[in-house]
Amino acid sequence: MSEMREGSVEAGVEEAGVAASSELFDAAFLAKLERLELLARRVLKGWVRGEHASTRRGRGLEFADHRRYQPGDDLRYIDWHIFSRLEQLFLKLYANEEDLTLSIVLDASASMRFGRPLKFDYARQLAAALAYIGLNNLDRVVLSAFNDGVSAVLHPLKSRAQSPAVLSFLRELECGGTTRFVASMREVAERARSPGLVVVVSDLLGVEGVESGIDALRYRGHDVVVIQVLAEEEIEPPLDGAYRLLDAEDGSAVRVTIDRPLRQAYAARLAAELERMERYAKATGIEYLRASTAVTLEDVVLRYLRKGSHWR
Amino acid sequence: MIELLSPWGLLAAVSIPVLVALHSLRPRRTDATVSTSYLWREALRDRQRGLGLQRLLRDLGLVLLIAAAAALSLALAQPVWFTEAFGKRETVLIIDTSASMQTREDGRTRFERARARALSIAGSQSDRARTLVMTSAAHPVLRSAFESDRERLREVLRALEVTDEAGRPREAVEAAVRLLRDHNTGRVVFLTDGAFDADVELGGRVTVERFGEGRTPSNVAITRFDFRPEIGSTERYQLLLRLRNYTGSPVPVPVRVSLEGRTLLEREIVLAANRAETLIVPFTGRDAGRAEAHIDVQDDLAADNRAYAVLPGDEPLRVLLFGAESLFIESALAALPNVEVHRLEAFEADRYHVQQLTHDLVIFYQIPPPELGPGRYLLIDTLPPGLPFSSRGWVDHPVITGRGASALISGIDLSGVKVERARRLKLHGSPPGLQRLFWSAETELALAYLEEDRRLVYLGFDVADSTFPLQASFPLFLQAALDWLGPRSSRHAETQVAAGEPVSFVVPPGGGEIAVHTPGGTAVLDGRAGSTRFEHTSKTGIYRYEIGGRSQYFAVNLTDEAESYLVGRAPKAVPRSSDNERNGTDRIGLALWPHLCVLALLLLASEAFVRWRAARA
Repeated sequence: MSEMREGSVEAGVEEAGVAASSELFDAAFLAKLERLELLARRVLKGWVRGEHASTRRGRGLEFADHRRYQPGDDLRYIDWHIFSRLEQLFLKLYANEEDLTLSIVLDASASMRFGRPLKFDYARQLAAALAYIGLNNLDRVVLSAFNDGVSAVLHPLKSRAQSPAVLSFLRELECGGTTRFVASMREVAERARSPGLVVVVSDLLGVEGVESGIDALRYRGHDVVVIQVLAEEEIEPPLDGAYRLLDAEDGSAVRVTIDRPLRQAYAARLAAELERMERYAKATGIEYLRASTAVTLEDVVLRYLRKGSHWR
Repeated sequence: MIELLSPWGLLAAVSIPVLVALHSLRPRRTDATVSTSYLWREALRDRQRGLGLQRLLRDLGLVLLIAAAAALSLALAQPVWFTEAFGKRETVLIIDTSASMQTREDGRTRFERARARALSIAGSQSDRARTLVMTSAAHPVLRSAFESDRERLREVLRALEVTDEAGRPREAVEAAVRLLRDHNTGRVVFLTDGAFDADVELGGRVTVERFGEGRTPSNVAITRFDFRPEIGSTERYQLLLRLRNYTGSPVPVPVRVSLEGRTLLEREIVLAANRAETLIVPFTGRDAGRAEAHIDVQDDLAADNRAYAVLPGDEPLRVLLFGAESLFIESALAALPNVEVHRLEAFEADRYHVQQLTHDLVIFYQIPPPELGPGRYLLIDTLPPGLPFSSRGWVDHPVITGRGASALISGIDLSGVKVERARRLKLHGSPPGLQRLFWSAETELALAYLEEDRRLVYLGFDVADSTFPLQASFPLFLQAALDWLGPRSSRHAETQVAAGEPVSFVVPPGGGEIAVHTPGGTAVLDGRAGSTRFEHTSKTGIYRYEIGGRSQYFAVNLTDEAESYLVGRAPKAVPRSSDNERNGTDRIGLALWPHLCVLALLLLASEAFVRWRAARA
């Protein structure tokens, strides 16, 4: 688990810029974060910061709805006015008013160490951007990484001044190991104190039980956004000839002679996998974004933000 | 059939596993790390699923290379395709149809096997070859011309039948060899059982394929059947029957001989192994009719278990005499044995044809006859037109001054013969059929004249005006003349013939068609020429024919000791030219290596095309 680093985002950027300039979060990236933040402001214009109306009904102050009394319900919420008129028990429901917890769950398995740029770097930059926007939006931001389990967690941050800690956390992450997606998602779900927005950033390739893992989040009341990061080399493999393909995670080898028919078969299989994920997202109502490392970060963030109205 | 002239060339086929090995040597694989191998495994599985034909096509290049290597290896082995076709050459197929070919072995006769072989040979004949079919039994018979039409040859062969004739292949083989126009490439194939005494040169261009080599045949045969009068008796006769056992063990043989239903002999004889026995059985009574001898044995050849004989009755010679009553002539004719004389005073031209048909001989006595047609004539003191001699007046008191050497007057004493008057004859040249019998200084007194269908004896004077009838020599002369003119002797000689031998019929003058009823049907012969030959005697039995209003018979028998000996003993002919011919086959070889080389080139071109297409893809 990474340490929290204090300091403003700008400072943090500046401080971290020296170390990160040649790596992940260089000055150009930090400038990009600023642009993204401005972009987010425009997109999120009209929002009341820190006052996200939850879709969940609870004990807030704002009346939301009635429902019939069920044995075991809290008697304090019975609407006696209705009882006096109708002689039937109804409960008054109030909308919860709470701060949004944005959990960014980053895939740090070995398969993310692939592509140019590395999917992992791309994913980290994306996570940094989302966290930066969240902090600027006064959301509670939790960062975690997983491979064969949750490997690192950055405790909830609520201040934009904590942005350097986010960058530091992400910078120090290392990827490796196999992906145990279901177990990791269950762990993420169990760690969350209250339901919130969970953004899963992963390649989801060769991952068993993607649906089960996401279902574990959903069943805990989280809104889920899945951002699937793919390297351009995965979408159109630049391979031709005889190869021994080594799996980045388990090291298993496949002997293939790659020719056009096999590349076509690969593309068809990849398309089938992506389509399966899209169908699942549509069926369950989660948000599903697909990002190629060839796509600019701004485009992905913008798509993310536009999807944001759904969970607000 | 394909043979390899250089089988070692097949060693080049080791290139095939080398090719496969080289094909299996894949380029060194490059290690590449992928985020997940899952997608590639699935892609491989998807691609291999239901790709049977595509998988084959994927390896099509290797398949084509292997095929090309196989074709080249085979080409190096120099394969030659041999066929039993007869190429361009002429072939004479002789099929033995003699009686021994009826021998049945393993359910099929030797003849059926030979014919099947002939059909096979004819069927494999090339389009340019020509084959002539001939059968050989008592005589060779051409069954077809040189034919290149295989179907026509098959028809001819299927129509062949085995006969009851004794085999005499020499004529057939010699004729077949002569029929070959090209003695360098032509050949004779003789399909036989070899059951004949070899008096024929086999080998050379003659290939002999023998049938019936399987087992030792078993046969008991009647080898002779005949009748004869007993010496010194006119009522007692003897039948002669000769039997032969061709097996290696004694055989009990039930024998039965009958004559017109009357049993003359019925007994069982035990014939010793490989021995013959002759039975001479006397009997009395009628000696004319149809006789049959039968031995009741189960052996391999049935045709020689029966024999037939026809004993002709003593048919009278029917003489038609045109002329005035003549005591001398009629009494002399009446004195001759077995002569029936029918005298007519006048000659009627419109009835003459029928009258001549029902008589064996016509005598014209002083009545001028018409121009004589085919027939037999005795002319006494008359001369018809149309002869190579003619009358030129008369000669009084001619004195016999000379006599010829003809058998007609052999032993006849003419010394006391005096003639009152005779016709003066003028001979027109020296006709070849004319015999001078006796003559005077002035003219010929008696002549005999023989043409193809006409024979006559001429007496140039009236016997009533001579002392000839008073001489003892006159009836002798008449007897000799009738014997010479009449067909009686030849009739008796041809009541029994060997199967396959022709029978000659002497037809009465003006005779028309002759119906011959054989065991297999009825044949009609044209007898207008005066005589004819009947040649279809291939089956044993009693044959009936009608001629001159009379039904007569003759018997056809096998009765041939050599033919009944069923063991093949003719030498196996060895063709001189090649092994192929020694095998009884005539093979044409077609070198296949050029075709294989072309095929290999095509395969290599196809492989290059496939590779080019793959590279483009």
